[in-house]
Amino acid sequence: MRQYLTRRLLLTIPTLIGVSLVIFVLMRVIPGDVAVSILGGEGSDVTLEEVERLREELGLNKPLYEQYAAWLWGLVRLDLGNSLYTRQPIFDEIARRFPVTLQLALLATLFSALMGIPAGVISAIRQDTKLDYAMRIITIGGLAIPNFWLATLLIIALVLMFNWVPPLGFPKFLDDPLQNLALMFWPALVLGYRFVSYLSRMTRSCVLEVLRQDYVRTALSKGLMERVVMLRHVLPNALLPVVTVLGIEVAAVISGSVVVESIFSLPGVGSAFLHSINERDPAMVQNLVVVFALFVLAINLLVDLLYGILDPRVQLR
Amino acid sequence: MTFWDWPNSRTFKTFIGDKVSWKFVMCKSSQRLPSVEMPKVKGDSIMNSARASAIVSWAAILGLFVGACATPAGPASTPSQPGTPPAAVKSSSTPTTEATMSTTTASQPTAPAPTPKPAAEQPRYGGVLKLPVAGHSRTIDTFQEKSGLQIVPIGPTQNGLLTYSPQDGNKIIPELAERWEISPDGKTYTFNLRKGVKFHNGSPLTLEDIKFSVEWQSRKQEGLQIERLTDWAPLEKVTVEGAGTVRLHLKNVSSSFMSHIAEAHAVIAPKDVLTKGPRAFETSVIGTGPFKLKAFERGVKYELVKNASYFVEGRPYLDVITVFVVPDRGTRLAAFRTGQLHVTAVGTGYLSVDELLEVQRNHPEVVRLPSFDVTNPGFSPNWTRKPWSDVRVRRAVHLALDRQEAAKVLEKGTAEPAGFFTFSTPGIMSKEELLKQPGYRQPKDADIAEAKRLLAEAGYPDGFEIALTARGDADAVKWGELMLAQLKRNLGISGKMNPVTKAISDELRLKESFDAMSIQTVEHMSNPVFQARWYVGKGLSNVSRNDDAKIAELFAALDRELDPVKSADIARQLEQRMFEVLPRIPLYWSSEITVKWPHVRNLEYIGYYLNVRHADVWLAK
Repeated sequence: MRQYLTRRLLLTIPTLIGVSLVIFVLMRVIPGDVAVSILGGEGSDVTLEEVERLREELGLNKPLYEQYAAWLWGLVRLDLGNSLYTRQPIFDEIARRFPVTLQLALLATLFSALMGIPAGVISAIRQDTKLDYAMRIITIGGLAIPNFWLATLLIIALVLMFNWVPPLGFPKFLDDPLQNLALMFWPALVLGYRFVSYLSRMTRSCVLEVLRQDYVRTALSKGLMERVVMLRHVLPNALLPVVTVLGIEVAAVISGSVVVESIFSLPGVGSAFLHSINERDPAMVQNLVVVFALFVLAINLLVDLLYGILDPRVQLR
Repeated sequence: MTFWDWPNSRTFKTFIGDKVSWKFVMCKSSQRLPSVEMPKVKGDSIMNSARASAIVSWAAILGLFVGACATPAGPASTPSQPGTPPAAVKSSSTPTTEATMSTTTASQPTAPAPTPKPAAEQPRYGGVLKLPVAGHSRTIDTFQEKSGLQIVPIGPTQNGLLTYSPQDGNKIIPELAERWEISPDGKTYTFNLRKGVKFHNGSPLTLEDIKFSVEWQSRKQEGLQIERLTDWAPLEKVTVEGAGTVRLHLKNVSSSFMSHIAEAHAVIAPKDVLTKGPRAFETSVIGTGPFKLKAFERGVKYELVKNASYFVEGRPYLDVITVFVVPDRGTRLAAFRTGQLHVTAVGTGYLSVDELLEVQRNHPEVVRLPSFDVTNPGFSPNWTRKPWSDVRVRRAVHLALDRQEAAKVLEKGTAEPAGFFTFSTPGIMSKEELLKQPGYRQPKDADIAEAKRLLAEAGYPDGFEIALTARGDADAVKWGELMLAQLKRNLGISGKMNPVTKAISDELRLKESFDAMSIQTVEHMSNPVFQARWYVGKGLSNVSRNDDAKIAELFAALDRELDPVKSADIARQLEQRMFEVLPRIPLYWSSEITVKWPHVRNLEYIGYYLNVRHADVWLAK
């Protein structure tokens, strides 16, 4: 296990370097300029010369390898620097926003588990019946319906049906848990619904696979209660892959929350990412991508470790 | 009864329906075994469908419960006030484009007059005004940012020497200055400072603060992006005299200088704060305004609290102003409809005509605010490229575009065909005169025939291909699509839309790397000099990169002319010249649209460059 862990941790370094290189190059290749974003705006009189002057001031005219090396060295020292657009510390901004997105991701995962796993179990047990088909149609909707469209529709429905929308201003959980949940419930539902189909189908397949095993038939035949068979023999084996998928989903939700955060006015990393891309702020975008990548790698590692703990047959080395 | 027994209760059974019996179908590889009826034990089977459904239903119920615990529903009816007439929809079918200006004045009245109120109404103290902005500005430092995203939340915390009346966006009134004078030659502005004004940190406002603030925002500062340099360009020096006199000495006469001083962004800040840390205002703001910045959370909200030491006695009425950052348009509208916001949009993110109609249909009591922010969408050809360098081609497009159709299709008839300046500008053609001009008259047969002739003469008898770039916000794309459709229909010019983000649009403009652009100009006040940035120089706003020397000369002459009669004559010449060379091709004038709930009093117009102090605003409930 120790060897495995060490190897995985060492592997994150080249992965992160690769990610950092790709995003660094991308931000310099795509059209648009942060200096123009800073100086531009409605009615701006800025000229090309002034833009060039600002680029010089921001260090954007330095050789690319110099810029990349400086950034990488900052990452090593955990100094993310300042946003080129706002001139505010990036670390503070990410630290403030990340818990919001993490809460959203965890809630979304919880909802997808609450909806997807029972749906999958029911579908498996009632295979090829009307209930199975109904479940499949409902859960496929999560894949087919774009989450930004669903989010907008949800807000409209809330206004029309209840004359209510989630509270503005993002009340923090520790300050006002009810208001916080009242706000976070809806974007989490939208994001969670997307994965319901995936989870439900995976659960269905896994449960069906396990139900077909000899030991389950044996257990039933020797008179064990259905509840005992399901709880002790079927679900622990069937849900192993599902648990690992749930972990990966947390990472996927974080990266997929960009538009939903904007619609629900959540101050998470997703909306910061969207804003930074719009303003072409390379410092912010690069650091956010590296943070995302680090998070995804950490989640994947945790999931693999968890799998090893849950399934004694799996040996991590 | 345990949790698992609940689903078997009579109440739940009635709700869910009959219990479902489970049949297990077990397979061994490809063989299908007979189904097995599992023994039922009451309350004991996890596979009881009612229990499985209970899990899902509990989750749904919990969610609804949490949702129901949220903010109560917003106002649904007009508040009743003694002596107050029922609120009526005040939306106008035509945009407000009147903004007559008096830019040159002699001595002005002293203290601002108390806000006029309907006779039967007494303002109420207290309450929280809730406003939206569509995003978070780059910085909250007023000197470094000149956008609605910044001035809407921060404007109430600061003051300038002058401001615009909160009731009338045409009228300049004193603010930190009690009165002012302009010398006969128009080059010296003398301000007498109001006494007893204090900053939010308790320090008194002094002449040094005013001198320093004016110099700060009129000169480049190391490491900062000062936004208003061109506005203060005529300023030569600032002098102070005695206990309360400040003089601004100009290098040359400027008819627009007063307007710039009165703008909401021309604020006064404490010298000692700025000298200690020039970037101090990027994280907090200290001013003399009716409200203090208590807290702000980037991307979330700003909270402003009442300044009890405000220099106008009895103001402000409100206790708190909360400005929420709400990027999504639909969410802003939904929040307004449910009462979480008092206004639909301020500064940016205004309503479309369709949204206005929808709000009015569902809430007929809402009040549309007249707007001093007017937009002029149009076609901006790139003069540096063929065929747009040829005035005949530009004129052909000008003649072929149907403004009336555009206003009808895109703005449901609420817009007016536009020239280059608003109709209330002295010396400019009236609306009736404009509608008789080529390009504006109906029917368009003669104009289209002339346009085709010009195109043929310019060497494009069969038309040509246009690549029309538009900023990604939906309005620019819709203008562009309509213009392309009209050009195709009337002239056989084919084209494709090229929607881009703001960042790309700005870069293309600066580098002149576009064919033509669908873009608007925005006019905040009816002083034609303010339009110069769209037509003169190498700045970003001169989209078409027009370099007509005569236009530049006339704009400069207009700025230097204080005599109203001569000024009107220059404006007329300028308009004529612009119609001759067509630096851009305007479509129509359209007002920015915002509505408020009727119980918000003394919020009289939209014009975020004008007055955003909200000292006189109060809530009737």
